[in-house]
Amino acid sequence: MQKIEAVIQPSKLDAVKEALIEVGVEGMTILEARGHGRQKGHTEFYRGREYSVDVLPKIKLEMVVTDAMVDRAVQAILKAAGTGRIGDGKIFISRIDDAIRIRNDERGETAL
Amino acid sequence: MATQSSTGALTGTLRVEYQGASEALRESFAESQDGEALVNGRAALVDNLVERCWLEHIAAEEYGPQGLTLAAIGGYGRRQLFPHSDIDLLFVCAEASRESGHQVQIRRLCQDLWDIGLRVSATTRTVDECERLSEENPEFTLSLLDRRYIAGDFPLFQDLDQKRIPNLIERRRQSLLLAIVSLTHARHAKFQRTLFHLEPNLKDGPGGLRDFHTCAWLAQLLPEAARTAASSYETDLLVERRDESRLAHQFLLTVRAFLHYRNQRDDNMLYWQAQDEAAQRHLGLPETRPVETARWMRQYFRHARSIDWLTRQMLNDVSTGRAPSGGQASFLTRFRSGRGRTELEGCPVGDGRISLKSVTEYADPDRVLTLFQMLGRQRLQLSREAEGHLAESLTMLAEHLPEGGALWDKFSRVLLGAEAAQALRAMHAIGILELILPEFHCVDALVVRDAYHRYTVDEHTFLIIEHLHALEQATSGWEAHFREILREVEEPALLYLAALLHDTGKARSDENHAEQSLLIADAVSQRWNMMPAQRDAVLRLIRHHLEMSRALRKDIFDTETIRAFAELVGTPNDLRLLTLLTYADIHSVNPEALTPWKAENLWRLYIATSNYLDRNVDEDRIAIDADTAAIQKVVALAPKQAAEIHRFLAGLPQRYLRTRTPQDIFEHWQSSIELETLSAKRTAVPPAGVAVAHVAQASAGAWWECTIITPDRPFLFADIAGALTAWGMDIIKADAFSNAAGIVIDTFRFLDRYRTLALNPGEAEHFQDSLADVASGRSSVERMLAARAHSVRTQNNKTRVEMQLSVDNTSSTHSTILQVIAQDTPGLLRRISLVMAQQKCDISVALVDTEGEMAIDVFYLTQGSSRKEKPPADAAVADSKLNDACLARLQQALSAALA
Repeated sequence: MQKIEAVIQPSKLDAVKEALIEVGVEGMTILEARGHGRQKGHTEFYRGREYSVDVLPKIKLEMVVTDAMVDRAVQAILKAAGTGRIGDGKIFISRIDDAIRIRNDERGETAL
Repeated sequence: MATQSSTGALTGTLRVEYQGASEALRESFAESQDGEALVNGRAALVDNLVERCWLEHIAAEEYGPQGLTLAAIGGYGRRQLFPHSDIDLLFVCAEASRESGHQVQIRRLCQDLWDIGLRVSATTRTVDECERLSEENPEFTLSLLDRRYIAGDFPLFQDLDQKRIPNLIERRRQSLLLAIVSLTHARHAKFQRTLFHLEPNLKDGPGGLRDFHTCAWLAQLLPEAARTAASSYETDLLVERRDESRLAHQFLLTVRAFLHYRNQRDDNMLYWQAQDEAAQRHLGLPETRPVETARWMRQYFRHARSIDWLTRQMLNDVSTGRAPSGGQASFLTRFRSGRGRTELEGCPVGDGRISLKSVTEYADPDRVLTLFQMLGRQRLQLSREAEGHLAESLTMLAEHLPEGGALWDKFSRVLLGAEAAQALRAMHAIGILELILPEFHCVDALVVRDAYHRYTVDEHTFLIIEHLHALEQATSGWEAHFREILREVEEPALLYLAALLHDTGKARSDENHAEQSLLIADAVSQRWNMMPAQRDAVLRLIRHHLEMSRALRKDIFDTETIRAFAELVGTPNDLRLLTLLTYADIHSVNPEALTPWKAENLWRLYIATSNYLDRNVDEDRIAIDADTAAIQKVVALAPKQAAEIHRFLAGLPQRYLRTRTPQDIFEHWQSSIELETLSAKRTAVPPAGVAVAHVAQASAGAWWECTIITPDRPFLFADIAGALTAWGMDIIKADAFSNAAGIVIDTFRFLDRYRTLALNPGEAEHFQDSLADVASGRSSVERMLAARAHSVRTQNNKTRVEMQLSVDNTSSTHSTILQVIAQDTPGLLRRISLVMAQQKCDISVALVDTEGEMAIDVFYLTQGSSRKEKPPADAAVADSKLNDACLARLQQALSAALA
């Protein structure tokens, strides 16, 4: 089992979600996030006041999938979230030791 | 004393008996669906088991042992044991030494009860301890109010029941009452103080079983004098509502029992699946066949409402000091009570409650709407008499309700009150809202299921109005930003009406409810004879009410997203309305829905779109052959002059079309024709210009507006602004547009602080002529200003605004956009525009606004040509932006003039 964490543009959430469901990822956690990397901030003036954004709104997706599913899930995210521009986001992958379904104490991949 | 083996045998026997009897009760409930019989039956069953264990472990003789008694308390004390309820037992000792003597037996008894399968929650106290109010655990003392003898020393129980608890109540009545109020408010706060949850909690939620018990406790704690102090009408009303509440109580007992069996635990949430099953079983209803879930839920809400009403009335009595107590009432309590009696628009107010003076007034719609207007202004409740009389007068009210514009006028005042949501809830509960707005009945307690909404459609709607009004008091966070937007909304009543109607279509179709709501809103606005501009504003808002949320799902930093959204909303005022409705709509979905993340994105989308609208006005101009719906509406007023109207509109910014009604545009076109006639008559040398001015007071009377239509010339805008200043008018908004033929349409909104126009009926005409004379160049604005110089007032500014000049040379293809932010002072616009004219900068478009004491003026400037030289929309655009040298001179001159 591996955990995939993807930080994406909020506008790509629907597309990424659909792409993941299509390749068979059944569950994910979606978090509202803010972040900055190479993508620069944004400044807007309104009524004489400056509103600058140095941390931009992002969406973070977290999902734990079987080893066999990892590549498909990553490809789905890349295809749906990518525009080729700075700010598209990042994907992080890490190993997971175990998973437990709280309702019935199922363990391992069956708990996913 | 029982041996180990005999105890085990008894436990086994009792467990079998308990399981058999429980199953019989379950089957009986499935057959009868009688929750009350079930919970009483279970209490009797448990009584029997506990008594037998008592005989086994504590004392073999009746009423023994001396000095120890066992009482049922809480729900068990009330003889209401649900299938998975805890069984609250209280062991009462005459003195502390008895407790240690019986400790082992008590533990064995409890162990046996657990082994039988009962969830026992046991407490041991001395009788003296029971007589003291447990400050850290008032719930324990309250549970003693439902005490019942089970076994043991009966005289000791009588001592507790007849002497100790009554003594405690007598001594600590006020503390107990306040504890109940405090615990109830805290519990209600967990449910956002509303019973209209899509998945309600039957026990703890407002209008739930706990509320019914609360009413019973309050009734028990109030002295007889308080219970009989109310007027006979009020008493009858309370008795009637208590009867309703009893029926509601029976309904809830049945549903909670069903939930326990269904969920196999003490889970009192009425989830969607449970609602479906309850409706299938027509649970608690007289029907003998399945009913629709929505209908079953409406029954639930009807019952919950009656318990909620009774609870609020009784809590209010305690909070306002109507319920007498031993302690001294606080100042606030006394003020809110009858001792601070007052009147609002002829409506008596006392005890924090408002009513009408006489019974006959309740049949007078005008007085009734005034009553709700006052209720919407202040944090008050309707008096019980008022509620009763209003409910009885519904038929009379329906017959005499005003119609058309008169009804909208009265109702809009209710919507504008800071506590409008409470007033609307009260109107809805009594049925008066449905008299005014029958279309709202279809969303009464309507459950529309989705993963996010927590409340019924009607409550969601009231919450939106509540959140919008709450912005008026916001001082920090994102709310303070949205408050600024609310302050700039031109007719807030339209926002509240759109909020009230935006989801009414959900009863017809959840898939496309905006379209259905639109049809309903259209019918309402026609019935109320709303002005076309008002009706269109409400309809646009309802049509687009989901669009800003959709835009938020796109890249809000992308220019294309902003452009598309700006095109959709069209005008700054529509943008403000939509932003506020979206903010409140998200906020009212559930308490966690409007995260700071979402609020920030919403604000950023708002400011980006607002800036786009202000900086792209001259890019989007009307073409000569344009034939949009808005243009067609104007042409429909004079079909034979279609070509002339098209010529008049050509070259004007689209914003002109979006911010004026067809009738306004038609009148402006007529004025442009009038200009031609006037020009033909002019023979003076050098020829003076011609101008037509229109002056009118806004419908709400808050401001005046004048529109000048005239051929463009240098210094024109500065001269009109100067003329208004000379007349003592405060300009709060202005816009200036010109068409391809060089006809200028300048509109100024201003405050007549000295009421010159209002107090002198003939003066408006004089004022209008004066403006036309200045615009046409026949009068000198300098002379007018000199003549008024003596009366120029000084201004005490509460806040200091630093002057800011910002230049945007990229947004427009042929204009330089200059934004001036400065302290709003009399004559400011004249000073700014004069400097611009002196520096040979022509104002192509002007958008003037004020926010408190801050003037925010945006000018589209071109160099060396007046507005009449502007190329038509479809011609190749020459770059006429200000060059660097000109810009530097202008900035320097403005800084000097405004310093």
